[in-house]
Amino acid sequence: MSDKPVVESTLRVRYVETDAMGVVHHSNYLAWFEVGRGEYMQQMGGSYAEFEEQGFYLPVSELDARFVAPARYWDLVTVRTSVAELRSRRVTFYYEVVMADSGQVLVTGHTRHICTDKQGRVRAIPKEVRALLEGKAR
Amino acid sequence: MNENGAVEAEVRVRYAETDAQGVVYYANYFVWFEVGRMTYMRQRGWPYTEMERHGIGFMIVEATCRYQAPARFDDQIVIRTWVDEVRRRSFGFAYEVLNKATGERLATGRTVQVFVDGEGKPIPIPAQVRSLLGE
Repeated sequence: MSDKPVVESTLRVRYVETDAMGVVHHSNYLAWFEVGRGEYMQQMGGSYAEFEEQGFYLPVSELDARFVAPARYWDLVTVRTSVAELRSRRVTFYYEVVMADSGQVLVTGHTRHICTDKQGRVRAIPKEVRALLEGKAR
Repeated sequence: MNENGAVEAEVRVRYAETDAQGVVYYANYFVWFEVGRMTYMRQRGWPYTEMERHGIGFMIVEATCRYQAPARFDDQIVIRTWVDEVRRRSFGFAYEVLNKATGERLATGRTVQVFVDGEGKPIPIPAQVRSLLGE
């Protein structure tokens, strides 16, 4: 086990997230990833909203996900979020979505983000945000 | 099967698909990929509904996307879809998302599917749909 911070967010599956197969549509897990990384930044002592107020953005440049088992309406699920890789201009988050009660893994995935300014130019991630992503700002 | 067998579908970006950055939210590309693969299946003579009537479905087990440039509200989008891999129990759809007006490539992606029976249990790729996959 690494000592990297892992932040947990728990949410309940809404009907709007399900599809005709009776399970959560795969695209909706990706919105849960967003819940996970938003909560990660919050718990590390900052927030993505503040980051944008400072004129920086973290658009998603790459995504991968593996769908292991389905979630269904009203299931309580936990998103575990950590930082898998941190470079000067980009950050990769890692996510595990598990059933809150049994811990069964439903989905795992990564999102890679590049740091840009408002004009979309690639920028170095500011020092204080790096510290936050590393869990050193708390 | 390769990119030469690609099928094109078109969508126009809806306001609901955009986010606070003024661009299409990243998860929505996977809904477009779905439009792409359903169009592909219909054009190849196996609409997804028809497959379900035969007691066959498929589930997505892997998805990837590389985002190259943003799409914005009202943009006309072309989704190119083709089958890039067929295995015994799974197959891959590859996607390319283009801005119709400029031809600029916005994203490329891939999904891997496994076939399931009516109870949702994984099954080998049924013989009758292999033609759909370009075999």
